[in-house]
Order: sequence, then structure tokens, then C-alpha cells
Amino acid sequence: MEDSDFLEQEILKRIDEMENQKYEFPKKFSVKDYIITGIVVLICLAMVIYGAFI
Amino acid sequence: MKDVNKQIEKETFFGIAPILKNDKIYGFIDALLILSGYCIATWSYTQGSYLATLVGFKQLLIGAFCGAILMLAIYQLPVILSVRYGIDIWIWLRSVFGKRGVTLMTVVIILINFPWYAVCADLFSSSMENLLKIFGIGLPDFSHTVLAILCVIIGTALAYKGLGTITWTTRILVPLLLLLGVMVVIVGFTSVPFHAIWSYIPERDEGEPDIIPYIISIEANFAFVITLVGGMAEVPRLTKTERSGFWAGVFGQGIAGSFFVVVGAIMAIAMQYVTGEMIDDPTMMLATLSVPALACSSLLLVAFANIGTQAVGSYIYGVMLKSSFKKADYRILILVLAVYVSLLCVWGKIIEYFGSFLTISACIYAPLAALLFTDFFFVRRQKISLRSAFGIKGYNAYSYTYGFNWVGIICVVAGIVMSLAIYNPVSGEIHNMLLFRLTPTGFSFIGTGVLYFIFSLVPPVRKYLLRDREEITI
Repeated sequence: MEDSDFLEQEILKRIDEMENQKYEFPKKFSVKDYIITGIVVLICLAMVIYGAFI
Repeated sequence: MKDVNKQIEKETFFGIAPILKNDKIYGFIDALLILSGYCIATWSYTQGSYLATLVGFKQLLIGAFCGAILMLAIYQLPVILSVRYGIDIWIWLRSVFGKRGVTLMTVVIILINFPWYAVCADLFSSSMENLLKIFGIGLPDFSHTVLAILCVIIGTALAYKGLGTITWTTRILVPLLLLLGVMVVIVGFTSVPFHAIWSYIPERDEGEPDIIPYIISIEANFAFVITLVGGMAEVPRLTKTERSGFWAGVFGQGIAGSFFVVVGAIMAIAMQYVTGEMIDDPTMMLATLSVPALACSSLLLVAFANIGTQAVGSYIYGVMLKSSFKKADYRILILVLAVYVSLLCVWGKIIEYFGSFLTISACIYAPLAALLFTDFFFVRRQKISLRSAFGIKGYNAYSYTYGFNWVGIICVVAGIVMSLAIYNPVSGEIHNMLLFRLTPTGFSFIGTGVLYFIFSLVPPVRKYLLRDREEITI
């Protein structure tokens, strides 16, 4: 079997596993995570704007 | 010859195939340490001393930390796709550029990223010359280029040997760089009065508005961190949660990386206070501000660090090229890269044009990051056809037009034009002061993202972009 066929088969095998109903994905980025990210962005933006005036 | 190629092929394989949940090995701390090490290199000192020519120390601190984290926290959000699906961003980007388009972008990214290694080589050369001068040994002018190329040759030789040697190199490299950084901070703050650094303000041309150098410094910080976009997913795809993958990147690069930029600035400011000249070479600094014997130790640190960075860079980009050009020999690829960076060393002006180089490279990175962000969150809404993305036979949603997604490529070109339309990074001419306040990188990021999103709303374009919807299974 050629290397490229082997790679394709292995990739398909892994995709099949991810499509399995029982497959558990890594813990997702939650709404709370997005809010925290938004707060960090706003604080940094405020500091960058503040920096222009010091 | 075959063994190293086999090893690289195996590495490429594992770099391509999706990482499943059971194969994920990094928690937040592991990923944070690795990503901190990845962005610590002696080029951080060049960035720091460049920023010190633009703004005072307080503004520099704000820009280096808050500016960096601001850009990282936005453009790195799509890294969660790498954790979720266990794939590199370059797999997702096949939906944005097409399979051949991604190969083209990979080559372009390497062409504009590799000058960083010319910066490293130049630093190696300067350190060696300065150290020899301390001991009364003068070198002819041409030796600067020769020493820089020597750094490239030794680094490439290490990369030639493959993964084992690289791993050994980085295990020594990162702690040495950390040690050097701590030494520089201690010497910097103990050898000059605190206020000399804290209250430092650079000399400015009379009549020049203060806001312009400040915006240029924020631009430099944005451009500095956005160059990490190409490799942003390598480690996160191995992390156990989306949150840890994301924050490890943001804080690893935004805090650890920025710390070393500030170290470079402290060094340059302290040297200017003592000698009247802004110098970012740690060898000179340690020799001037402490004892010459300490300069010898910096020789080992800086020399090894720059050679090690050269080796790691050759390896990473050699592997990246090999995943696009499967039949090419890894060793030939890294020799090609070595020739490229050597030519830049011969040109010898990478440090002189450092600020221009940052913004020119960000001209490509900003649109790339914007397209990934917009495509992931707003166009494809976090769903992709993995079979088409991996080019599985019979799944052609991302074939587009002879392998190129012209919408994505047009948006990259538009993003470059947007950046250059407001600011010329070579001459320093500002074409539009209002938009310049967003910084060229910021404006290009926002503008490219908006343009791509608007295109995606046009029905025929939407149909062209989203032919993968029927193949979505996850």
C-alpha cells in the first residue's frame, strides 16, 4: 500500500471515530469563556487608548 | 538519507492526521510553557530596542503587554477549531483558499517569515564581534556577514539531523534564554538609576506629534504577535480543552514573549544612559554594565540561543514545506531555506529595515488571520467538511477553481492593499491619518474580515463558498 493511501485510510478512520455518537469532543469554549475574552479585549483596548494620552 | 526523510514523513503524518481526544497530551500549563518557549528568541531584544526608539518606557509597557494581548485574544480565537477537531489551521484554510491556494500561501508565508532568522543571524554576528572587541581582537568589515552565515550553517546542520537533535536543542535553548533574560533585567535595573528606565522618553524631532510614534509602536506590537499566526495551532491541537489551548497561546505569547521584548528595551535604555548609544546586544550590555567575565557567559547563551533558533526555524518550515511538497527531500528543502536566509545576511540590511519588515510581513498575516476568524465564526459557523478538507477521494467541496478559492485570494490581496493604502512601511509616509489610528495591521484585519463576510452574503459567492454544507457530519 502506498504511503498516501495509508495516510488517507488513517485520516478516514479518525474522522469516522469523531462522527461516532459516543465520541467525546474536548470541552468546548463556553459562553463564560467568550465573555471573559471580551472583557480582556476591552480592558486591553482601554489601556492601549489610555497609553496615547500619558 | 532515507532515515531522516522517513522520520520527517512520520512527523508530517502526525502533523496532518486529526488528533483524537485520547491522543491529546497537554494541559494548560504544559501548553503555556511550550508556547512561551516558542516565542522567546533573541529577536525579542531587537523588537524591544526598536520600540524604545519610538516611545517612553510606560507607553512601551502598555503596548508590549496590552497591545500584544489585545491582538492575540482576537486573532487566536479560531484556535479552538484546532483543539476541537485536532487539526492544524492550514487544514481549515483549504476551505478559504482551496488546496492549491493553501500551498501558495504556505510558500508566501515562509518567504516573508524567514527574514526573522536573518535577524537572529545578525544578532549572533554582532555578539561575536563585540565579544572579540572586548578582548582587543578586531575583525575586518566582511566578518559580520561571514559570522551571520556561520550561524545559518550551524543551525541548518542541526536541523539536517532531524527531530532528535532539535528536541535536545530546545531543551537547552529555552532555559538558557530565560536565564539570559533574568540576568539582563537584574544588571539593567541595578546598574542605572530606576528613574532612568522608568521615566525614559526618547528624543523626538521637534514638532513631530507624539501620537504618530505611539501608533507605530502599537503597530509594531500587533505585527510582532501576528507573525505567530502560521504556527498558532501546532500545540493547541494537542491540548485537552478549548479553553486551555486558547489561553495558553494568548498568555504564553502575550506575557512571556512580551516580557522578553521589555527586557530588550530595558537593555537598550540602560546602555543609552551609560554609553549614549542604544544597543540591544546582551553581550555588550553585560560587558559594559557588569564585568567582562559575564559577557563571556552571554557568548555561550546568545550564540547557542541564535543557533538553536535557526535550527528550530529550519526544522519547522522544512516540515511545513514537506507537507505541501510531499515528494521533495526534507534535506533539500532546508538547504533551500538556508540559501534564502544567507542571501538576506549578505544583503545585510534586515536590522536597518526592521520596522518596515514587521509591517510588510503583517500585510500578509493580518488578512490571513482575518479570513480564518471570519470564515470560522461567521461564514462556516464552526462547521467544516473534514473529508473535503483532507482531500479524501470523492469529496471536492474545496476544489473551487483548479484548486484556488479566488474569493479568499482576492480578499488577501485587498487586505494587503488596505494596509499599504494608509501607511508606507518603507518610507514611513502616512497616507490617511484617521485610518492610521487603527494601525495598518488593525485596519487590514478588520477590513479584510468585513470584505470577506460581505462577499459571503452575495448569493452566487455564498453558493461558491458553501458547497460543503451537505458534507457536514460533525
